[in-house]
Amino acid sequence: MPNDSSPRITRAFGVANVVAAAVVVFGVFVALPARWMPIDAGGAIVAALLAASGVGLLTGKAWADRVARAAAFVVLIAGLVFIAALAVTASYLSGIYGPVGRGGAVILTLVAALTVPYLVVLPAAQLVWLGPSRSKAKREAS
Amino acid sequence: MTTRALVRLLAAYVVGLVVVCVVVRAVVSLRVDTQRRGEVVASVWAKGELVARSVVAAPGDHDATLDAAMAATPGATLVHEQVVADGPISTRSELVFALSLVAGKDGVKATRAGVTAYVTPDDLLARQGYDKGRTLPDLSLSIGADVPLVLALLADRLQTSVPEIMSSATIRRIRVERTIAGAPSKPLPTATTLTRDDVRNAALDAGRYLARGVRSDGRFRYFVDAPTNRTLAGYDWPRHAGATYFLAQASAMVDDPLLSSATLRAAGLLRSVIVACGDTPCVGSEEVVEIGSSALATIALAEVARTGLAVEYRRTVADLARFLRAQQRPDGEFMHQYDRTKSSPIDIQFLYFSGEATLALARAAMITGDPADTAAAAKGLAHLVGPAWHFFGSRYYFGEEHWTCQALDDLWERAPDPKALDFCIRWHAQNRLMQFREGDAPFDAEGAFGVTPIITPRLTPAGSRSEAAVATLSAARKAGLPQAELDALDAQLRRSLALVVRQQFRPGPAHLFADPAAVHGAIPGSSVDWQIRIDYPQHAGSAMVRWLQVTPVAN
Repeated sequence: MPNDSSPRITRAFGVANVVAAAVVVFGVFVALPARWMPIDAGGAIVAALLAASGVGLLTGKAWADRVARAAAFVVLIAGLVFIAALAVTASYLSGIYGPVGRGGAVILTLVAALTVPYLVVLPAAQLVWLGPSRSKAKREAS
Repeated sequence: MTTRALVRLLAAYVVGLVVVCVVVRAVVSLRVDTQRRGEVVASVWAKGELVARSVVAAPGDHDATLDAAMAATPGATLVHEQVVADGPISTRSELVFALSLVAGKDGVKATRAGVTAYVTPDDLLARQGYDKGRTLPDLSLSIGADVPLVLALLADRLQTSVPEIMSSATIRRIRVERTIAGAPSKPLPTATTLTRDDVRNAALDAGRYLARGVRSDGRFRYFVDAPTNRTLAGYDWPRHAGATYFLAQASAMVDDPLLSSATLRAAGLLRSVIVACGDTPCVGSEEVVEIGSSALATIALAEVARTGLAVEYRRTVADLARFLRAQQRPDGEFMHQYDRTKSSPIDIQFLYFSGEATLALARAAMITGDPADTAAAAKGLAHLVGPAWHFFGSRYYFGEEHWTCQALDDLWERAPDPKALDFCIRWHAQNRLMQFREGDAPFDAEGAFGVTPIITPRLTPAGSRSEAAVATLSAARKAGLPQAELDALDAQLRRSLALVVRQQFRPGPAHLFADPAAVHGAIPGSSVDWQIRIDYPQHAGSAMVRWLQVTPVAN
């Protein structure tokens, strides 16, 4: 974690990661009605990374910032891919059927609103908070 | 990562995604060639079967194969499906392929080794190939075209195998316009052009469709596959009673022995399945009976008695009302089952039954004049719109239940319930938000209810919600609600009723039916689901009859 970070911010990110891990577990393994290996495996990896980084940040482990950075990257990439899939699907269906209708727009907006905070905003904020990795910082310094 | 790097990354992502979306939409959209019309797939159909097909340059062009088929097949119909637009289609994923065909509008053409074959919308409609692609059991619906059927037809017509089609054929989506040589081009009604005669004739034809299917023992042809005219399995007493109710309504509109005798046979069968539930009669045959059958039987027999078809049913109505009252709890809720072996009600609740029982008691009261029936109905109504619909978010969520508002109107002059009127007004305001308007879908959906054109809307909700909307309009008029509210309800009704009239088989695409006369007047499940259960014409027909009763003649 950044050397100048306050303990409160560290704890906040730790709690947020643990909550996000729980949300991913609930979303993938409880809310989804069927099992599908790509989603289940991806969900398990993301949840494990988030949970590990959350616990690491809360307990002040030395490896916490590396795991938190990895988790944030993975979650951000997953989030961007998910939103891209939603947008491309909407574009495809719009090309086939015309406008997807008010209901379709509301559903897509709701799905985006439910996922963006966990899959984009949280990991993006965490990456900014963590700053460049130590190896990269060293390279830039030399 | 620095803030600057992250902003750059996200900005690049957004720009890239927008470009991809625009390109995807442009690529999959249909291309309309305004300079020249596309080819015409000309087909000869007889009794729902494709007899001959050729591709011609323009409608009216002669073709030896078609001329010979028309000459050799009595009663054949020549149908032209002109390709008006085409576009690419993704065949890699079966789900994407299935969702790439607009129901009832789109077909495909496949070219392999210089030979082209077509699977037109008529081909898919005749085989009921739309909305069969992927089933979503939790939502009880299927979406997308039947891809295996499409591929099998293409393989058959190109005289090859499905794997060969998938590996070496060029498949494109086509949009067609159908014309039938010699068919009268009478404009179909819209919400603004709908007339009383349109609705009256549609209601009577729906009634006659049901009446033709009533056997000598009083049973309906419960479930019919229109393209093949096969009778499908299943039977249900509440729906039998509902259909009997509508037949009684239709019989009262016109002196037609077909309607009246069918009504009496169906009502007679209903009375014959009345059994003892303790010391009161009820409808059912199992050890544990559900009150829905008794409730709808009460509504049906009350209508039979009210219209004078058979006044002797008054006694039966009074007896069934006594059973329903005995099933009511002190708080107005109903116990939905009765155990005949233990002679005791079972306090369990299912969808619809409380509304049906409330309406049944309100209707029974008109026949029996018994204040106890009115009081029980009023208590049931108060419970339905009060404690039964009181939960977090209940102001923003409504179900499909369509009996409550009918009970509201029935009771208004005897036991007005402003809270129930407010409930029904709010429910229909939400319905209007979900009602398709012109241009909302690539197919005929104005007046239907749904959230997106990707799911073909069912016609039954247009009928059942209209039953409730007519009743709400009637009660709102009696209550003196503002004209704007009445106009909104009337416009909603006109949209739905016009849709049902347009989609009714009068005669519909008769060339795709094995026996068009057998299904004349029927109202199908949707514009592409042509299986007809008896409650489909019942809900729409009952709404039409009630609309005629509450709409001033000048309208």
